[in-house]
Amino acid sequence: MNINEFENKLMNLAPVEPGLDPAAVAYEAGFRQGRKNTRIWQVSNGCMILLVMVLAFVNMANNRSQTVPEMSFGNIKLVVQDNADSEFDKTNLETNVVSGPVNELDENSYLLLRRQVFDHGLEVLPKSTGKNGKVYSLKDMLNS
Amino acid sequence: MDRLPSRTSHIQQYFTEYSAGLCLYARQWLGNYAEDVVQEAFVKLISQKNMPVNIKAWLYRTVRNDCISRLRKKQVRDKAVQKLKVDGKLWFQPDTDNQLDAEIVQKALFELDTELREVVTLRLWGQMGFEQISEITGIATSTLHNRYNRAIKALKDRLE
Repeated sequence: MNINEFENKLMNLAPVEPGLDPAAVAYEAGFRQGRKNTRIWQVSNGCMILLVMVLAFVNMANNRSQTVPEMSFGNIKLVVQDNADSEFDKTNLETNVVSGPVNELDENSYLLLRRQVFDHGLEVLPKSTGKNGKVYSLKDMLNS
Repeated sequence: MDRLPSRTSHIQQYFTEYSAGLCLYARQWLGNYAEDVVQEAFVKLISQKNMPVNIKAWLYRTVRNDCISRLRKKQVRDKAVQKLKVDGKLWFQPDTDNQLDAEIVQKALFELDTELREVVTLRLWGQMGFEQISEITGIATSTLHNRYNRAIKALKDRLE
């Protein structure tokens, strides 16, 4: 037997048919494709939610001082201090400092105001005007 | 996703045409793991964004790479070698008309060096030219020619 004949005889031996199912292969491919798309959606959704949360948090932090109107009750001012490095407004605090006997209190001092509230109720509190021109009444705020 | 149905019809054709040869090629590396590797290659083919120009070469190259990467894992390699030794599965269909006995050919093939066996498998049962085998294996054509001649001579000596 020469080489060519021998090669032909070898070639005539057919390999065993594999026990593979083309439908199973197609299903597996489709399943993987679907899983890949699902993962992409899951990751992008997660990123979007995270982004929205971060943006909302940043927005809230920035707008916190702006949403609270500046209020004043006579000489007493409600100051919202947001930045730690800014100068603390000591002039606003001075009105609260008791510098003499109670009977010599300034008519706008906090202690006098408190005593008046104790004696006559919330009606004695002066009305406050916000930055936007709206008049705030502590009594109304507490009642609402 | 919409490209899958049209592809699967072509895949069916490739499957019928190449799966037996691919399985034999993978079997001479990995024994019983061969079918997993071939299935994986077809799944990868369906999932390709652009179909390869030469599907047959692409499939054989994918199977080869997968076999080699699996063989790199020591556990799989040991099991594969063990299975190749004791594997009762026939690689070829028994053919009474053929003067060569399928089981003896399988044994003779198994006794060849891996590099010789690979060339013979690709050439005879993959029905490829040396150029195409070179494209798949990355080995020079002259080297492949030399290996093939040595393998055929060795097989002839063993089978006659």
